[in-house]
Amino acid sequence: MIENCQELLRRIQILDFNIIDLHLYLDTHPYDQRAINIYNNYVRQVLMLKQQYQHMCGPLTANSFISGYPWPWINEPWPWERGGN
Amino acid sequence: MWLYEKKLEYPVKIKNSNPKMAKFIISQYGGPDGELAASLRYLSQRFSMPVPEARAILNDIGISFSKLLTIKPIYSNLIVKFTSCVIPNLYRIKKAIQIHF
Repeated sequence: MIENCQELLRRIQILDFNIIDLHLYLDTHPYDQRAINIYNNYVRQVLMLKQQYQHMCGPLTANSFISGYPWPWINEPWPWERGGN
Repeated sequence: MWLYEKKLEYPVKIKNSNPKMAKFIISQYGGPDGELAASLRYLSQRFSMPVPEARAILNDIGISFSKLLTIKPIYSNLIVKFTSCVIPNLYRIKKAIQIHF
């Protein structure tokens, strides 16, 4: 379970890192259709992974998940803690 | 405006404590040419930027504020490892508290 969460998080981080780079590139190259396709492809993948992650491992953002009981946002680890990133 | 994601942009794995490095890292965070000051400059400049591409870039780079949130864990990990050398019981105490609650 933990193994899966860490692996999931790793894959989300890889995709998000690529998405940030493409995002900044597209700001100055808004007509690059090829880059837009790659960007869309990564975003589709990461949306699916994030949904799976939040279902299995806890919320990523505080305003976009349906909460169970008790409120899980306060659960460790936080990203700056051991095993949290 | 800011949307916090409970994850880092890039993983931080610190093996050894290094107070000297920690001091340097924290100066990159809040020092005179640090990320904090730079990102606030970008966010101010975007208001008077006439070119759409550049306006977007200033906005989006300013928001890489999130980079600060990567720097901070590097710093705290360097320091935590340091204090856990000075006070060898720190981790045991922390564990005990966690078990207790």
